[in-house]
Amino acid sequence: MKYILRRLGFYLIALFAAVTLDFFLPRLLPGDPATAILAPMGSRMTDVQIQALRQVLGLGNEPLFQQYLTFLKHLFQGDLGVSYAQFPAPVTSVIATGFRWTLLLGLTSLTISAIIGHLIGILGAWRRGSSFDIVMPPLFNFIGAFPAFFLALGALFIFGLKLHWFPIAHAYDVGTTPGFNQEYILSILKHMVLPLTVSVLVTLQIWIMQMRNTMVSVLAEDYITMAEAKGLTQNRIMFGFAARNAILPSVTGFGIFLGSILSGQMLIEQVFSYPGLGFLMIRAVGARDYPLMGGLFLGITVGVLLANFLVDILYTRIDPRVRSG
Amino acid sequence: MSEEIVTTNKEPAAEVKPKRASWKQRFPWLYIILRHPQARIGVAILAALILMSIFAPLIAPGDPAAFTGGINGKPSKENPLGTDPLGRDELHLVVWGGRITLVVGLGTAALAMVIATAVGMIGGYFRGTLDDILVLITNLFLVIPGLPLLIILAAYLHPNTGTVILTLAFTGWAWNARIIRAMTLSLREKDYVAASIVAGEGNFTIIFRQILPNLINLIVGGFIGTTIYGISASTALAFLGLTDMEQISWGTNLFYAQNGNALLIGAWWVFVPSGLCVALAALGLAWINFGMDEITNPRLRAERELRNVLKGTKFQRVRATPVLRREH
Amino acid sequence: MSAPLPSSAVNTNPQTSPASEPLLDVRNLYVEYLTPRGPVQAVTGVSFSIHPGEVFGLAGESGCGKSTIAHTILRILRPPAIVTGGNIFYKGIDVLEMGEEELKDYRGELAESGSQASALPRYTLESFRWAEVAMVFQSAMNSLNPVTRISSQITDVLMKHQKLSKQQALERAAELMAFVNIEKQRLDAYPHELSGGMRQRAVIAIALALNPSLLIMDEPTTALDVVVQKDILQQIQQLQERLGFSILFITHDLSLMVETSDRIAIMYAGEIVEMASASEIFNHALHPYTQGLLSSFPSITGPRVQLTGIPGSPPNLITPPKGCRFHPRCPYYDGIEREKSPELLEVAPGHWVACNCTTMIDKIPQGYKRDR
Repeated sequence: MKYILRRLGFYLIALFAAVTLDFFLPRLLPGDPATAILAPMGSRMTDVQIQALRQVLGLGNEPLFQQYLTFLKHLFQGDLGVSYAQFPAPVTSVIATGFRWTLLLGLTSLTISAIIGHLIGILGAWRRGSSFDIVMPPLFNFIGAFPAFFLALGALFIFGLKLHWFPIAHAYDVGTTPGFNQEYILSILKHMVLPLTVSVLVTLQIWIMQMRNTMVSVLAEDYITMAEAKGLTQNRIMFGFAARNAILPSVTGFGIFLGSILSGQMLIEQVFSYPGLGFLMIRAVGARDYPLMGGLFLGITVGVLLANFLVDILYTRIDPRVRSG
Repeated sequence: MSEEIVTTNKEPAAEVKPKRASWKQRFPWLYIILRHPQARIGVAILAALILMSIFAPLIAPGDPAAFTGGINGKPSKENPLGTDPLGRDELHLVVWGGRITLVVGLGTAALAMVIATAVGMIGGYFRGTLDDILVLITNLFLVIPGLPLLIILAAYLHPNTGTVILTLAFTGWAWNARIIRAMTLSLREKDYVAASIVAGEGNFTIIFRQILPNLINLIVGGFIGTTIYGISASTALAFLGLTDMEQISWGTNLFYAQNGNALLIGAWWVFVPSGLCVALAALGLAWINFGMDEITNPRLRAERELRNVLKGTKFQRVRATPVLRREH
Repeated sequence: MSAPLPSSAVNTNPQTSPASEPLLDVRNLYVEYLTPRGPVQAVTGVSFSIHPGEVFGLAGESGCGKSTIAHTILRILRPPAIVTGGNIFYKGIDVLEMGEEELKDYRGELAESGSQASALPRYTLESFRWAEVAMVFQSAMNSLNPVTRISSQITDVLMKHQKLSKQQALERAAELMAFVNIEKQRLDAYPHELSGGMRQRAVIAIALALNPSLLIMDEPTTALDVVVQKDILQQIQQLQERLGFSILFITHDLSLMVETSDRIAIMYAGEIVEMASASEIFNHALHPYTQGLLSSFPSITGPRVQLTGIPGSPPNLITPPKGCRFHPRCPYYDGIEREKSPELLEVAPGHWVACNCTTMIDKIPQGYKRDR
């Protein structure tokens, strides 16, 4: 319990840091931040709208600290401002739609990649030196060395453009109507295949290397020797004793892995124009849509912190030593 | 009665001059890298890429940004790797592109490792509240998502090589700081450090003379790892259009490939070579690191030796003690 | 030679009858470890036997090969260790020839075919391990799975070997915990939640789960403090009297061993140098190494004696000394170079010694055949 509270406290501090960063960044631009930010909008906005935007962004003539408080106040009210490029869509609703798609692609990819990756790692470590072990880990290291977007481009090119097996953009066919109908769901699945495959391929090596290396040190432990002395079956020792212990660092390290998994996914979304948070953020940057950019950054950060926190709770379930600490 | 203290030394100990340690002992990692098969390949790849970048003017003379006619042209005699969407010769782009990419990668690693080493050593050595604060900061940098932060920083700051290196180092130092701190903590407990403290040596003397030399392995390993990060992340930023797009780097090449609809036309030669170079650089560095790991980590080394020893026998994967009878 | 312990402490239990069939018969065992610098001769030509109900002690310095032998009996020694010769007969079956995987019900097939040829039960390693021979490892904390409860670590063997149901296994587990005086609520605990002594007792309970005929104890009390040590040893003795299993007791602490064992073998550098009953070893140790070991522990009663210890250190086992492996450190070495190690010979009933220097003629009793 104390462990969870400590972690929660840390995440709150991290959130606070991210929020503060988000507040200060626009002020990094040279000159009057307001004009610089609002410049792209130019003549398209009325004075009233400009004023309103300044208010929301906390840009005004009040002292900095006051602006900060206004900013925080709006944040708590769930108001992150309005997007420029998609004016007048509120930033929060843009985040919401993006979040859905990123979650779908991300969770599916993570689950598949983690399961397959760990299995390969377990088998590789168990049969150290076998042809399986000599081929698999280095193979996925090789695949993982390519930049994620490069593989995405390759997949897009070969399977999308040349072979026409899969669609090359978006999350679903524009013609279909969203809802729980078969056509829609099928189209979602079709659009997911390529980004999902690339995402899994790129992240597999993380799990394989992590699991294999941990397994190798776990297999040298005395409790494995005792399990063998007990005459238990190979499978039971491999999974019930070795893997069960070797998976712990995967969970503690998850937060760090998440960083690279996320960046990979963002780039893949970009290449496939998959409308997740990554794609939206990159597009927002291109359009210099500052409110949306800042909002997306916060949204992504909140998501990451939340994921970390959930994983921490999961960890207390699987490692009894942490519970009593 | 006077007592004579009789010593029974047979002869005075021969004067033994300490031999100057051979370079093999003083730089084990260098020696090792050159022996380990995977690491050797890594060194070879990296050397090839570095040499290619240094001798770019010789390999591909002329201005790489020059328009040579033909957009997305297929590979031909004049343009062995074809041309890109801006009409530039692809071979030139690839050969010259290594310069910026490698410089950014190495620069990021240098800066990030300086920060990481400083933070890790200071926190690990002095401990207490200072360490708590540094650990908190390190963890903050670890948990906040990297690429989004990079993107947002790059969007606000004026993008050029310098700011790219700064932002990459800013987001990439935390990982190694943690590792170095852990090592410093354990080194600090060693007897020779305790002896130095008792002898009254100043803190900074201890840090630089006793602790730092033992961190060399980690620092070099971290440097290589961060270079990989620097190369990959800067390429990604360039691909997204967030660096100085006037420069020629593997990343900007890929940007123009993507935006020039090279894919739609099927002009694979526009993006494959640059991407391949990035992958090779990352792979080569990773293999060097892997070789170093295997040698410096005693457990991994024992495993490798074991594999060598068992090569040829059929006992590699056996789970019960093997029996191979012999004459005695 | 000093007289450290009162002789009442020395085990003089004549319980074992040498005439009965040995339970475990190790013959001429050779084990080596392959290393990049060459094979390490860890165990060289070791032979001994353990009878039903006997407590057999194996003593020696670290690295002398005693743990290696223990692990080899169950064949849990991992490569680069390999067995290069000898036999380990358990109830007549050579453990070194047992297959690894579970065979189909071999005994069933035998019965069907009506074959009389081999009425001896056949084993595979999986069925032999734990059910016939079990082991208590040195560090209980390290030998228990840290993330599962104690109960599952007992019930897994019960369900695997005896095919009990979960419920039956739990009942039996509670019984076993009672054997070692741990309340059965502790079954739900994780290893790190138990005290050191309790963990060791739990490990003993696990070892006895399938009623093995032989229990190997590898330094069972080394990691514990003295008070707990005594407690555990007493517990083991009681259990042994009650259940009647044999024990192979391995330790470097000879004083402990003379108290608890019936017979003792002293190992040095991979070989047995002396083997006799506990009281013989204690009162009439013949091998210089044994004498050295005995004079290295102090006595609480009796006159103050100079502790001598044994100068030098154990030899390199990749290239062990020629002839007797102890000769570089032996105060009685006669200076003659020999090629082979001295044979282990019975110089008095039940007392075996491997020593053949000319200087030892007087010290070793009649009936002794010297090796040239």
